[in-house]
Amino acid sequence: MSHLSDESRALVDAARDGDEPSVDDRMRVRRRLLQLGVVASVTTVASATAAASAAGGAGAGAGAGSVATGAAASIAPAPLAAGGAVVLGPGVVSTFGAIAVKVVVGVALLGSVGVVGVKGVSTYRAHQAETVSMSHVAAAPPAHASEAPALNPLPPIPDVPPLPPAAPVAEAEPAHAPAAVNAEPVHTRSARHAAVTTEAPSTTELEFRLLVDAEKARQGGNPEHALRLLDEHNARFPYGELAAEEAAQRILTLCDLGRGVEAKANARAFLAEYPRHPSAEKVRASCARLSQP
Amino acid sequence: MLAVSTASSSFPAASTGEDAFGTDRVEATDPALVFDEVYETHFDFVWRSGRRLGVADGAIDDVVQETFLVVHRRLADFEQRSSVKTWIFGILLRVARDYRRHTRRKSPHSMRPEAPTDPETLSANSEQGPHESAAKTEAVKALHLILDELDDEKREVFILAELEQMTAPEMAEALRVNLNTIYSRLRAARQDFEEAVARHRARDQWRYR
Repeated sequence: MSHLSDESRALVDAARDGDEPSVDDRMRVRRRLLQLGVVASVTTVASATAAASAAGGAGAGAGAGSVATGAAASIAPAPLAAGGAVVLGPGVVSTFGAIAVKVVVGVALLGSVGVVGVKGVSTYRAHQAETVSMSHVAAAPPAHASEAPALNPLPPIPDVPPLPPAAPVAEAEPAHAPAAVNAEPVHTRSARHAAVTTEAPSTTELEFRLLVDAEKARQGGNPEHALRLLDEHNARFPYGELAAEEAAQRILTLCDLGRGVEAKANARAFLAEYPRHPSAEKVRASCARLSQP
Repeated sequence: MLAVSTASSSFPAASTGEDAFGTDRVEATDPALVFDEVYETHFDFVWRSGRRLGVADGAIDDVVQETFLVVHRRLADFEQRSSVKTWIFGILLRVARDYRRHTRRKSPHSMRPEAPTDPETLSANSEQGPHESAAKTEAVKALHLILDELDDEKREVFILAELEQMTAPEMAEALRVNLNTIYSRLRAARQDFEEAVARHRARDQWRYR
């Protein structure tokens, strides 16, 4: 076989590793496959940091790590639990939790929860984050000490989490910081892994933030605002990576607004396209009540 | 209203039926072949190969996704007589060919919108400074344009040989042709590549030394 000339060789060598995917690329595709129920979790983009935090935080940090790949991670220095104590930045964690729980609960619904400690814990972590989030929004009375997140995998989470049983220790300062997506968490005892980047937020992050805010609004009893945010998401990111998430949220929001007919129409389209989406069960259980895909 | 019809459904995947990917059905011999691991191990390979096969930025997500969906479907049937990597490449090839058939007539690289390869993204991938990244961006752009000038068969063998540095038997496996064909195709591919480099240089006064 003939060989390449020096010039061609130089070009090939120079370009050889220029086609690698970026972290964003990995995250995007992974998220899509997650939505399709093909991959088990959103892990591994930041697997190194997740692994580190899992080890460091006696497993308790794994939840943050596993979902905090990419978007979540760079929105907030991933909220971490060290030694079982939950460390939360006001506002930040709750927003984090909202989507985290969607993703992870989705995994639970797909039946892959509780497989190993880490996944169980991560579910739990996200679950806790959401309860905190609810306590923010609904101003639920702060409860007593957290049952330490511990190592045991938790049983599958109910679709709709019960009222906040425990707002895990620490601060929570619910009063301020409703916006706060970018707020620096006050307490990040184990910020060492900080997957934070200082770059401008990526498109996915922007999408993510909008949806997080929408979810917060909905859970906070303001579905009108939630719908506005979802519309904004739709307008800005019509082909966004989180379009399916948006669609699912929209259905739940329409339900909250009493717009059942629209919810149903949307649900039908959603389930046709994403029958195995992590939120599909929620959608089926919503006011749209489409038991059959 | 529903914004769910994203790119994932815009990609014409219909013709990438199971039959296109071989019908040999043998029990998987290695139960440890778990999809998530296969995915992790080969994601980068599929991604960069897809790009080098001429999949445009706007479609690469779809092509990679579709490839792994097929991998997922067929993993249990994968007989492991070939390596996972060459098997996956075979799948990618078919998905990418479908993509090409359904889309552009022209080079996606000459049509794509500006700046998908901005230096930020590239530098995030490596430890390099901005200058090296810019140089690499140039090189990658040039490489794609030149690859676009090869016909599909030559392009495929060239990518595997020169960029992935596969051995001839591996390439034979991945491309499902015999060794002699690989050799002759690669010879022709290199020749075409050289000519395309020369044209590229002449056109753009571009020089890579």
